[in-house]
Amino acid sequence: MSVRWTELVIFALLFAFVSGLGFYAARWRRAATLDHLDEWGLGGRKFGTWVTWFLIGGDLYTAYTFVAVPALMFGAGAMGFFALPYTVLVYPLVFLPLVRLWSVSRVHGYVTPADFVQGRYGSATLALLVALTGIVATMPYIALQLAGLEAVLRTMGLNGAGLAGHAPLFIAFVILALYTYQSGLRAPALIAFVKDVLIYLVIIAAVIILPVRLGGWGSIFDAAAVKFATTKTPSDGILLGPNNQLQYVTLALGSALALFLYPHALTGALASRSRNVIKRNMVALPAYSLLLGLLALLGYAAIKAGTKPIVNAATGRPDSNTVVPMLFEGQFPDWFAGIAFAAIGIGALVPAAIMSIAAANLWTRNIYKAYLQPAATPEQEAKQAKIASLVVKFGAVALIVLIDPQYSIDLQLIGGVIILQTLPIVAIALYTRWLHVGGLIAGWVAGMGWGLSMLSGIPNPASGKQHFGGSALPLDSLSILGWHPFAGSPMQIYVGFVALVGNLVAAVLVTLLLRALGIVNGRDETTAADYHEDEGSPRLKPVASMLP
Amino acid sequence: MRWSGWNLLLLVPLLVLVTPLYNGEQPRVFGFPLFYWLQFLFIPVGVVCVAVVYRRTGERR
Repeated sequence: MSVRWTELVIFALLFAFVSGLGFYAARWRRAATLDHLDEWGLGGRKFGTWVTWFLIGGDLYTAYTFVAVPALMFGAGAMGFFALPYTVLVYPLVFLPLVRLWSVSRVHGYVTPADFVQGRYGSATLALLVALTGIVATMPYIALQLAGLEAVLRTMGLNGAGLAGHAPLFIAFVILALYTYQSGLRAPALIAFVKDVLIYLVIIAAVIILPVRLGGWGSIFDAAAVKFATTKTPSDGILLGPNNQLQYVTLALGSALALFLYPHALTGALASRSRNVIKRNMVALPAYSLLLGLLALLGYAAIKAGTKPIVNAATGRPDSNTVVPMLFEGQFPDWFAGIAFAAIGIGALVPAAIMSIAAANLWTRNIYKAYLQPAATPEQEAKQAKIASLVVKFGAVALIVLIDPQYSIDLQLIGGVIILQTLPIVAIALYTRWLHVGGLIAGWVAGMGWGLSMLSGIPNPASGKQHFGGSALPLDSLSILGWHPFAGSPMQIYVGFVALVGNLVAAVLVTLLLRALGIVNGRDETTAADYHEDEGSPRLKPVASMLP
Repeated sequence: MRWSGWNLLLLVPLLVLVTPLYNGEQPRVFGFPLFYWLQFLFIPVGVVCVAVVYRRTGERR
């Protein structure tokens, strides 16, 4: 296939523009120094409502969501729509815990969720578990942003085979790595603004123009229903079947609970100026959910339009992530497709930058400073984090280049299941220390072990894989130490949810045991009042830029 | 600010987990089957619930 020059030129221009912004960001709301994690890693902890809205929005609604959710709707139907209830649920669920975390983090100067765990339980082991889980869950997430970016690049004709085929992706990422290194969190915060303007423009145009061109929403849904009726898979369709409703709701709930356990989501929240900034955003962020739901339906529009995904020249198989880019390519003029591709591509850069910063913060605070260099100064910490952000990004590039993109999706699946296992350690600890350190560790081990073993036992008949073929576990094969309580049931459930239940049961049982034995439960450096302090309180720890 | 009864409103959006509420085709609205438009409708429901809690439990400094 030949290169589509109009699209490529528009893409390159917009990409160059945001790269310039990324480098300029170092001077935006300039602080006395960038050599401190408060500044490099949290943008000075002073973002207001608008900046936070763009930042968290850019962080949570990623390029991957923009290409993968419609692709899932295109392939499986109603099941892919779980993204909507998921984003409906997340804000009411995290509204109260998130402001508590913000307050306690400002009083004690915590930069990462693992910092909080260290302070709350005085246990470096527990903090290490949270940090490692966060880093491991984030890496494949960054890799998936690259998969989204690459889907766009390949649609524009940069669809080379072998290592050379990845060169455009590599160049884009080197530029991203450089300005993140220089500007820290300020770069994605500034770029998120451009990204969102482009995305809103493209989606609003698409949801108005596409139904008109394709004969109205009614006929789009009808076309999708006809397609799913002709496939052999019984579980697809434009409605849920009898066996995947439990999977639908547990996946939506599990994903909602997991979202703000991801380090990058917390980074966005901790960078905000006050509790009210977070609260207002919990009201305003669902605007993106509307966008996401409409975008998901573009998967059906692609069915009606007869869109065919591109064959990825590096793997030789059709890449379903190219469905949405191909839909734009087929239905819109070249220049508009170019803007749409740029929107998706820039949509990959913002979260990739925030995720690498969050992972770098975890490495620096909870591994480097906790274990390797306890005497590190703030300058050394900032330096370390900058380098770690480079390592994390190139690790993600290696994931994409060295292994089949299909596996990076599996890794992401595993990432969601494992990050959910930190819920008792981080979220429950915001309210109570009743669970014992030992119980939390036992719960983490149980949840991880059980979750991973369930995932490894799920085959995917469509791709012919034996293991890690999906996150839907048939209740029939649910085994509690060899006991099958739901033998014979064809209903499916989300693995992460089951593992979390196992995690909590183990944590409670071991806690009861350790409490009965009277074993000391670590030292808590926080007090009840810490969880309610707000902007302007004299008890907040000053951020670096305010220090003399 | 401590616990407030208004916080219970945050539980209302959990209704979106009750699939029998919306897992049907009819009635269609603007061509959208019930499954889709009713779930879209939960977005403003969630926003209103969170907004009311924000307003009613505002911290006075």
